[in-house]
Amino acid sequence: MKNIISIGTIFIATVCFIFLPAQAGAQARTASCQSCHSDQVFSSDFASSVHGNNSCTSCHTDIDNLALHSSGDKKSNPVRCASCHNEIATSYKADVHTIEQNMTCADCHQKIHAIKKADQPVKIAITEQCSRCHASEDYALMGHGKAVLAGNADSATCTDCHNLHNIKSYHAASEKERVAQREFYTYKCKSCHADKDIAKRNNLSTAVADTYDRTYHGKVLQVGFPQRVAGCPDCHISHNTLKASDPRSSLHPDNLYKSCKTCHTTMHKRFALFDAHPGAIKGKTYRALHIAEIFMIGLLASVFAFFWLHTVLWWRRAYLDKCIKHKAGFIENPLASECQDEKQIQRFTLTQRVMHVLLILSFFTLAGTGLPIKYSETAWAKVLVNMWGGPEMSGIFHRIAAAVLCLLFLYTLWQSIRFLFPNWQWRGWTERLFGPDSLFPNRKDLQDIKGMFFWFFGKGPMPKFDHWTYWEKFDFLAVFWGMTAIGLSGFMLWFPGAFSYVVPGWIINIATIVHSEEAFLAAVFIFTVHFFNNHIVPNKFPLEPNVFTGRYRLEAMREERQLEYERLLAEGKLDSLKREGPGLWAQLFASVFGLASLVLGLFLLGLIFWAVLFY
Amino acid sequence: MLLVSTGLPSWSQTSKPATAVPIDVKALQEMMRTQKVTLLNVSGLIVCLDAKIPGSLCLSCDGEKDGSIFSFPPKDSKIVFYAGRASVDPECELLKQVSARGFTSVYVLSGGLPAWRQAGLPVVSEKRIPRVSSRAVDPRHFSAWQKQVKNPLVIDVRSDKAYAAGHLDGALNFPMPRLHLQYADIPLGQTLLIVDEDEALSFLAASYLARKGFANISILKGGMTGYRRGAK
Repeated sequence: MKNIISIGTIFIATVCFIFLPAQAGAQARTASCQSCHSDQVFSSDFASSVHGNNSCTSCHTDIDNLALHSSGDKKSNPVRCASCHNEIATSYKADVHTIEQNMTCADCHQKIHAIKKADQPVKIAITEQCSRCHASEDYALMGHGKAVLAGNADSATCTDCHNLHNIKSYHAASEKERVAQREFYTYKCKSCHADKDIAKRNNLSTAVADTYDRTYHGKVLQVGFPQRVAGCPDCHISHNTLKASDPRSSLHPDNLYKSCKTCHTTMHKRFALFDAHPGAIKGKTYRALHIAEIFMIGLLASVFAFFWLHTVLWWRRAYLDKCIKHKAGFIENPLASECQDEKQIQRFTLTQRVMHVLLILSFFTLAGTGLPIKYSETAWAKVLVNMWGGPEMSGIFHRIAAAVLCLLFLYTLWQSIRFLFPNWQWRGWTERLFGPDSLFPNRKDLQDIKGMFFWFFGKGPMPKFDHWTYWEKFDFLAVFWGMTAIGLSGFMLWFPGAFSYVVPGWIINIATIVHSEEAFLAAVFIFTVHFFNNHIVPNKFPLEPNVFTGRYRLEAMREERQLEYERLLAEGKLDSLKREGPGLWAQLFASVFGLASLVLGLFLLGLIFWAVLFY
Repeated sequence: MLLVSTGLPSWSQTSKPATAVPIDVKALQEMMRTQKVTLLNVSGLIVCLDAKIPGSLCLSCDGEKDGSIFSFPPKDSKIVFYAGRASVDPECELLKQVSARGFTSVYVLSGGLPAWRQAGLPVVSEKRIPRVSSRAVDPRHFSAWQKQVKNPLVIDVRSDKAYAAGHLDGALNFPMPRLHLQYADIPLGQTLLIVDEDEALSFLAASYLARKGFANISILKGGMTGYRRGAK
C-alpha cells in the first residue's frame, strides 16, 4: 500500500514539475502582453476562450523580441493556425472559400481571441454562422433549415451537404463541374435519405433513395455517367426541399414541368407525370407499376418454370439413355461425323447464317452494355462499362446494337410475310402457316410437348420432329414478343420526350420495368434454355455448329428430325438438299465463334446470378 | 426595367483584338521552371495585393496610360496574363496593348488564380483585406431589399464596358481596379449593395469598403449573371 502511495506521489510530482512551469510560463508571457494589449478581449475574454490555455506567443510565434515589438519595429505576421490545426488546414486548401475568395480562418472564426464553444446546438450555430454571409431564405424557410432551427438534430445543416472545411468549388458555367456537383450532392442526399435509422426517427422512408436508384437516372449515375441524367439537386432545386403539395416547391405540379424541361427540352406537359421515385408513394402510378411488375414476374416465372423443368428432365433422360447405350456397348464417334467427304443436308441459307451471327453480336452487345445498367449497384458494373470505353461509349454501342437488332427483326418480319404470301399469293396461306416449314405452332407441337414429357419419364419414345421443333418455334416467336416489348420500351427510354406526346410520363416508368425484366428474361433464357437445347444437351455437347456451317449430317437429321427426313424422302427432295461437308475454315469459324459465344454467354449468366444472389 | 444599356465607349472599339494563347497551370509551371516569365495580375491593385502568384506584377485591364510596363521586358519575353478570378476579361485593354506593342509570346492563364490555388501552388498576400461578413441578397428579393433598407445604393464594380452594356437601375459604377482611388466618392450613410459579374469580386469589394468605414454592406448573390438568370 505504501508503495502505491509513493508511486502516486512521484507521478503527481512529475506531472506538476513538467506542466505547471509551462502553464505558469504561458501565463507570465500572456501577462507581459497584457501590459500593452489591455482591452477586455485580451485581459479576460481570451483566458476563458477555447485557446485560453495557450500563451500569446503560442500562436504569434514570430514575436520573439518583446523590445522590438513594443517599440513597433516588429509587427506580428498573420498567425498560422495550421501549426496546431494541421488536418483542417490541409483540407481547407481545397475549400471554395480559399480557392475563390482567399479567405483565411479568422474570416469565419471572427473574434478569434474570444472564441468559445457554441452554447446552442451545433447545427443551429453552423446555420447562423454561414447565414452571416450567405442568403439563407430558401434554406431557412423551405425544408431542412426550418427543422434544424426547430432543434431537429437529424436535419441537414449547411456543412452536412457542403462539407465543413472542404467545401467543393463548382462553377455552374463549367459542364465538367456541374456534373461533379450533381454526383457529389446526390451522394450527400443519399447519405441521409438512405439511412434507415434517420428515416425511422423522422417518419420518412428510405424508399425515395431506393426507388431513385432503380430509375434510369439513378442507374446511369451509379455506373459513372452523371453527365446526362438528373441527380437530386436537378429536381429538388437549390435549398428548396418543400413537399410537392406546396406551391413554392419545385416539385409542385405547376413547377415540375419547368424542372423537367431544363434537361428534356422537347416534351409534352404530360411528361411531368413521370415518377422519379417510382413506387415510393402509393398512388395511381404505384398501382400501374405494381400491376406491370406482377405481370412481368408472372411471365418470367411461368417461362422459366416450364423450360427449366423441361431442361432438367431432358438432361436426365439424355444422360440415362447415354448410360444405357454405353453399357450396351455403343461407342459414339462424333469427330468422324465432321469429315469433309461426307454428304450433308442443307439446313440454313447463307442469309440466315449471317443473320444469326449478327443476332449473336448485337445480342451480346446489348447484354454486355445493358446488364451493367440493370445491375448498376454491383461491383462488376463499372468494370464492364469501362471495357466498352466508358459509360458514354457503352450507351452508344447499346443503341447501335439495338438498331441492328431492329433491322434484323424487320427483315425477318418481311421474310415471314413473303413465306406466307409468296408472290403475293393469298391462296393456301393457312396451309403454309401451319405447315411443316412454318415456325408457327400447330396441333402437332402440343402432341410433341406431351410426347417429350412421356419420354422424359420413360413412358414412351421420343417424339418424331419435322423441320422445326416446338422449342425452336418458341425461340423464334419469343423474339417477336420480346422485340415488341423490349424494343418499344427501349425506344421510349431512348426518346422519352418524343413519346410524351403520345403517352403520359408514367408509361416511361412502366417501360423501364418492361425493358429491364424482358432483358433479364431474354438473357437468362438464351444462356440457359437455348444453350442447353441446342448445344449442351449430351448428344450435341459442346456445340451444334449447323447454324454457322448451314448444314448437318444426314444421320443426325434421321435421328433428330425423322419426320422431315421421311417427308423429304417421300417427296423426292432429299437429294436436292445434299451438299458437301463444310470446309475447314467454315468449321473453324463455327467452332471458335460458337464456343466463344457459349463461354461469353455463360460468363454473363454468372454475372447475373452474382447480382441476383448477392445484391 | 432595371437593366439600363448606355452603349459602348468609343475607345474600346478601336483596339486590335488580342492574340493571347491560353495556357494551363501545369504548362505555366513548366514554362516558369525553364525560362523567364513575366506574370501580370490584371485584376487591379486591391485584388492583386490581396492574393497573387509570387513574383507577379499588379496591373489592371484598363491599360497603362504611359506604357511604362512595356519598357523593360524584351519583345520576345513570355508574358502571362491572369486574373484574380477564373478568366481575364476578353475585352482587356492591356492585353490588346501588349499585342499592339509587338510582344509575340503572350499567354492567358486558364482558370486564373483559382486554378493556380486549386493545383495547391503558393500565393502571396502583400496586403490582404480581412473579410467582413456581408449578407448576400438573393436577386429574386432585390426589389424587396430596395424597399426595406434605408437609403439603398447599388455599387457596380464591373468594368466601364460591362456597366455600359447593362446595369441595375440607379447603380453607380466603381470598377474594381479603380475602387481604391475612387471609393471616397461613395456617399457615406447609405446601405450599399455591391454588384459584380458573378459574385467573384463583390465580397472582397465589400470587405474593402467596410475597412474604409462604410457600414451596412450587402452583396448581390450570383452577381449580374445571377440577376439575369433570376429575371428569366
